Amino acid sequence: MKEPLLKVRDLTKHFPLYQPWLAGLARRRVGTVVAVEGVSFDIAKGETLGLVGESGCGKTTTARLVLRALKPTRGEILFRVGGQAVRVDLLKGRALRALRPHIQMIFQDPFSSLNPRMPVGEIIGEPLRIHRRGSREEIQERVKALMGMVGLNVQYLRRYPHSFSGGQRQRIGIARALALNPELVVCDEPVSALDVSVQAQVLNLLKDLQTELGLTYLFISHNLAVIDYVADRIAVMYAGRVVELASKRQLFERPRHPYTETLLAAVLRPDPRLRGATLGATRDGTGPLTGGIPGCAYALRCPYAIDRCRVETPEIRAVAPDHLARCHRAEELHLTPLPRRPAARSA
Amino acid sequence: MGAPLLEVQGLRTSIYLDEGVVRAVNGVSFTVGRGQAMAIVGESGSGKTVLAQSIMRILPSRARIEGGRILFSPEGGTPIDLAALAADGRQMRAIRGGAISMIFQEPMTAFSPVHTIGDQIGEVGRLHRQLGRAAARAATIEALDAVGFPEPARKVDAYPFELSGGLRQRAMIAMALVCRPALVIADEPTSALDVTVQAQILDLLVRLQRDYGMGLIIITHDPGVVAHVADFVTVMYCGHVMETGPVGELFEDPQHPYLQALLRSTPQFGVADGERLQTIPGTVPDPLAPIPGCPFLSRCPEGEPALCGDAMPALRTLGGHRHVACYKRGSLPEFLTVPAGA
Repeated sequence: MKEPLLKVRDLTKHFPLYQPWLAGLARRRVGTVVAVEGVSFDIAKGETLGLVGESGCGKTTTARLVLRALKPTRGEILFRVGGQAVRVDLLKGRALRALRPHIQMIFQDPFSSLNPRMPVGEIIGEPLRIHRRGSREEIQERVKALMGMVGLNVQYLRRYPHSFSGGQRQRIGIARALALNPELVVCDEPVSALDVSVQAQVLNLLKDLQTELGLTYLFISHNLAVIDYVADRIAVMYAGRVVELASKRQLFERPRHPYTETLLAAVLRPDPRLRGATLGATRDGTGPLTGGIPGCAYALRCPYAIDRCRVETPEIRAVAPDHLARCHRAEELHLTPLPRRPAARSA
Repeated sequence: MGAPLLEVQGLRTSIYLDEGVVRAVNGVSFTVGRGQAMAIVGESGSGKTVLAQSIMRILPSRARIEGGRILFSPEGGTPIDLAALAADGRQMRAIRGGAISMIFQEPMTAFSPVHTIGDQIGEVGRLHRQLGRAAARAATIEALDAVGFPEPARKVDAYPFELSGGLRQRAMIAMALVCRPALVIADEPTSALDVTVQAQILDLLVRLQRDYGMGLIIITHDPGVVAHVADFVTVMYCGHVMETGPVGELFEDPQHPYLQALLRSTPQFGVADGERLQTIPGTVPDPLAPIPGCPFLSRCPEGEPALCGDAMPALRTLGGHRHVACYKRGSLPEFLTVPAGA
């Protein structure tokens, strides 16, 4: 395998946890929230890595660390730019600013992520102005080209975000993310806020742009059907850790971590023959996120947990070729794969 | 055979904004039988939430019901027309939260943050069932137990912020059930939840609806939720019903071009590499601009301006319980002979 574009090793982020103190006049530190712990993965150029997991599992924190919107507590982020691997986690000041054009982000909420007081042309052109990419006229031309690329009418250049639909706003956000020709684009739930009939348009656009521009995606979603459509490989996160990492096909057909099984069982499909069929019968509640507790974080909810799982923290390890799992019982368990698609509808 | 539980006939609700009038619900008719689950499906702006607010009579002040009837018959006797009642009159207040209750999308904002969930659920029992303080508390604990709350006797004194999203939604369902309503309206009850929690809540809704024999209206944009919970489905677009019928038949053999396109464009598993999702071109039309004909015409692959552009088609029967609002459907006999499950 050729050298990956992004290499993440043992990435960890702890946040301090404060409580009000002295009747709210001050606060004191009472512990640590382990948001991300020991996360490692590679993304090859042109590939899409899907990141799935429930809210609070650390997906977005991982994305923000890769973007260096946050500074990691520990770990390495290696990004290849111009044939050299850069330690993104160590960058600061001018060097960090020089990296920004290479890694860009598409946000979940197409409403709050666009400045309502800026016309669309300025929103898309802002990264170009900040990084001084050309004259006013050159930037204007580039903005028009970007709008055409994402399927926005160039005549809307001077309109404000409020006059666009959710899908069109997401196109504006995509154009802004692509303005500086990034190599890696972090997509954080880019279609979750959109209507079903518009999601397909945006997903197709993201795939087309990837082919056209050779983009690499780190794609976060809680919707496995969306991940299935866009991703090559999938990392499943739980309580700040990657619990399984494999190709999409392996993960769906031969899951190795009980949490992945739960996720696959919870998938809703528009098939009325499944009506009332019991979905994943899981226990509620996440394990403690404050760290320092031995054992597997999923043991509390895991139907397959044995005594060992409660005392010994499992390491992530290869359980099959190109298939990593963080479970003591990964080899012996035969977990239920994603049910096969029922016969096609006569639509 | 008495009257159906709920029969909505030609309902029209408009919202008066500074910019103009939005015909949010534009002549909607459907029926919910006793113990049946009806899904109302639509994208944002389809009018599905305004429809629910019309039935509950909790419309915002700028919206009003301008026509049609909402016939509600909790015990099977002579139906009451909810549309004709005063929204804050005694009769409607007794029905709202009593015989009809509602589960909202966002359990964090639907609960008051400064009262315990026990107080808030108990208040419903005290108001509608005239329970005393102790009896209301007992009923609350019983309801929390029924929705699978761990340690209900202890958690009854919890504040909403102390609960996870899934538990808050369970508390909301308990609040909706404490009066044993004949009809529950759930507006996107799982959209704010994680997938694994969503699965639990839907399982719970299906179980409770069967156990208590309630009527259920579930409002959603997700065809997966519909398939899982509902017996019947009404598909809305721009304030109109486009198609309605049993879920199985509609999803196996959708007839309206909008429903066909919607189901094809939903991301699904098993799309082969290199295969693209089919999309619906264009966007939902501007709600402020009146559309005389079919609102889907501008995006419809089969639309003909001469045929579809002048007036919204009425619902045509397709046989059985199926109806479709499309000029190109419902008159040809072959549509009636498609076997279910084909």
